[in-house]
Amino acid sequence: MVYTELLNILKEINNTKESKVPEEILEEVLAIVIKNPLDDDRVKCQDQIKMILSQRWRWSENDN
Amino acid sequence: MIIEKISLHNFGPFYGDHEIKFNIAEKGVHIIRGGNGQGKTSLQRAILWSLYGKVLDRSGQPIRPTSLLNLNAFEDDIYEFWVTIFFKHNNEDWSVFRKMSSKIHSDSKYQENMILNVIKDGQIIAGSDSQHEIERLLPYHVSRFYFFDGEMLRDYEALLEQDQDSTKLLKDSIEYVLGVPYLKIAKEDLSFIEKQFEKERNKLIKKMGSSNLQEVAENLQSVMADIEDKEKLITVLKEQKDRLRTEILAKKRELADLSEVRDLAQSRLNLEMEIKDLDARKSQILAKMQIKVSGLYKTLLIPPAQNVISKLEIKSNDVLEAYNKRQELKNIVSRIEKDIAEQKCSLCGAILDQEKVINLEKELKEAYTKLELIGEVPEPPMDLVFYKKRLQGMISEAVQREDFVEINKDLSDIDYKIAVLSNKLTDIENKLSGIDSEMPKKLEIEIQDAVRELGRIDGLEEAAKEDLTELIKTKGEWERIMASIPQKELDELNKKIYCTSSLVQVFDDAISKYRDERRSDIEKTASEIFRQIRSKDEFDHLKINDRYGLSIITEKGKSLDRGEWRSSGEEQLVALALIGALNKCAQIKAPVFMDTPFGRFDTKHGEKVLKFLPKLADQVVLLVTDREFRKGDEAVLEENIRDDFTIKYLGENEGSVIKKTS
Amino acid sequence: MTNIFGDVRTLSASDKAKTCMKQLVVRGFFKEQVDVWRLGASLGILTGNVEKGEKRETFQNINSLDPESIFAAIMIGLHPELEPEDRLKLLVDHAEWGIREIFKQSEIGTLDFSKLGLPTNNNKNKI
Repeated sequence: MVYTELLNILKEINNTKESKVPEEILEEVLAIVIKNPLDDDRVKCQDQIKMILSQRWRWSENDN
Repeated sequence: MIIEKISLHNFGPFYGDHEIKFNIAEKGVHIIRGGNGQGKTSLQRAILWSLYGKVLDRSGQPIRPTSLLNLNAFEDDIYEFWVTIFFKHNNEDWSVFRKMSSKIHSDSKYQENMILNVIKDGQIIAGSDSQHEIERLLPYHVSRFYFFDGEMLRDYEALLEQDQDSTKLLKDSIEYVLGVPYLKIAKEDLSFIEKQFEKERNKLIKKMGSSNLQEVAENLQSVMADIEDKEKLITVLKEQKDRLRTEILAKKRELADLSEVRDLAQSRLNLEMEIKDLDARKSQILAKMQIKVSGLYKTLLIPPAQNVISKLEIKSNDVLEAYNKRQELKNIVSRIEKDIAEQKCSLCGAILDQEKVINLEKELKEAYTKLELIGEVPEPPMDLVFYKKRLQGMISEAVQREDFVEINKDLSDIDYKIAVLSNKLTDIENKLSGIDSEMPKKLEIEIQDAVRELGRIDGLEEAAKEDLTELIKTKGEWERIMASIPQKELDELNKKIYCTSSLVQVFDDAISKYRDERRSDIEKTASEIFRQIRSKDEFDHLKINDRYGLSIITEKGKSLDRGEWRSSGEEQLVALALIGALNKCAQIKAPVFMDTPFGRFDTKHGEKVLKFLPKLADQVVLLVTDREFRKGDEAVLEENIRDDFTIKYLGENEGSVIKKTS
Repeated sequence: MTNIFGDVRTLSASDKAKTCMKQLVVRGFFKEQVDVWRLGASLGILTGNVEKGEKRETFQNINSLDPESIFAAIMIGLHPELEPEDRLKLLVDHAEWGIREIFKQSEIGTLDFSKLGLPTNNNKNKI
């Protein structure tokens, strides 16, 4: 439930931006963080998010 | 989460194995009684330690594992302790078992050898997932709203002060409860990744070898290093501020407890001043008395002096009379002889004729005759005259006895007053014996120093933030230059950085928006609770303003200033309503443990709170002393009470035990 | 002026009298020991009481004790027949008694300057 609520807020904010982030990326990043909330999880969490961004960065090409 | 059973082994004051089993057939309130120092707080700490592997003391500092081991176990060289919690959650049976053991009594060894077993419906949850599961059930940062004590209530009372510390506390509390930490963690992770991409970009630029690019890269790297340093500095300053705030809160709490001591110390000072003034006055009166006393001997000598004077008078009178008469005659003889010799009257100056001369000779003869008759008269002894004069003078200088009557009365009054005040002083000194009566003043000074230090660090943080803003601007300029340089790989990295930065921005904005939106939810729920437990009907609801200041609003819409209705019981009702709201808005079902929360409630307030408590959660556990929870209070809760236990400390050898209350 | 007390220029007091005088000053009733002596001597003269015996040693110069010659006047007035040395000894005996009496009253808490030396039912003053 927390996930849904937070995701809605992120989407709402995202919609106000000129260059929007793809919603799937918001979903994935949030899900990874909620699954890895502890201090000891940071490295693992960051690695997973970085992998997503390294694969999915091309969305920004549509803005340029 | 509903806790069924807690098992302890060598934890805190509990030596060996102990267990407490709750009756959870229905929702309700479970009472655990115990005097101060019997083990109630240790029981609450056992649950938190079992769940999170850490527990904090009253000043917010982590308690070391070596301090958690039972003392008897330590003396028996048994270096192990554990806690198991059995609970139900969403119809699943769970157990959490945490153990620390070691061959030697060492914090690091205990930590190294810690075991955590989480079992869900008979299935062991492996490895690091076990702590994650617990975090999902009841996140650590939210647990404080489910396990709290009277001191935490006092911290939340300060929210009504609406100073900087209190508004931050409210803001942080709302964040913790509403899942904002997830957004903050995400933002921090993304910022870290952004930096990593930037570092990769700079390495790439160096590898490319172009001098233009290299120069730009070096400048960019330098700015990024500065940014990183600045961010670290800001983090350090924030941590220092948090520590100081915790310290200030703890000292304020201590000062509140000592206010009585301060009043007594002031009374003592006032009494000492009064006694000093009275002593000074007494000294003045004594000095006056001494002067009078030094003349009193003359007063005592008046009767013998009068006796002596009359004797002297009798003795000298006869002699004096004859002597004086003879002297008179001699003077007459002398005058007449002179007048005859000069043939002139010495009285009127007229020339004497024969007739007058003859008369004068006649007078002279008479005078000679009288002199002969009186004969020789010795000179009266002058010392008799002298002594008579001295004694007559002494009598006129004698001190009045009545003067001493008034002096005695004044001295008596003062002695009485001094005695009364001295008794009062002794009473106060007895009350203050063993207490450092300077402590309240010391604490006030310490608090002032800490607040000043906080202000100074605030200043440093502000300056660092300003510097950071400038650095980020500079970085942006270098990045713009960078972007104009056409290189494919570089472009890719720049875009990754841009994407990550966009994400950071979204999460950052989401934090503020979410917190502000949920603020009104908290406000509404807190107001609903407040109405159920308020002591005055004209208090209508609570309000959390834009700056996260908290105030009470009356029916007429007036926002009450704290000074207008100063009553510690009412402030605690607000604190309780707020914690209840945070608890409910967290959307987490967990038991609520309250450790001695009623210490400062009076009967009226306490009853309303008791009636509300069963609504706070499905399982509410009250850890109370007998002083704060009496027969009347049981009656208020009667149909909601599920269990009644007592924790009792049986002495050094046995430690604490938990039993059903008989 | 004849020498009321002979050629002796100093006056004696016993150790006990000196102790009493010191104590009475410490207790704050008197400013100086000479004040105690004068009041004691006056009390002895008024009541006619004396304390004889005991070794006595020099205490003060006569002129310091009796600068106004009041005691000299009293003693010559009351005892013109005595030899000067005897007159002085009598004065000292009066003082010894008076000092002890004042100290005693101070000890038992009955020292009241407003009533000191006044006749009571038990004792009438001699003079």
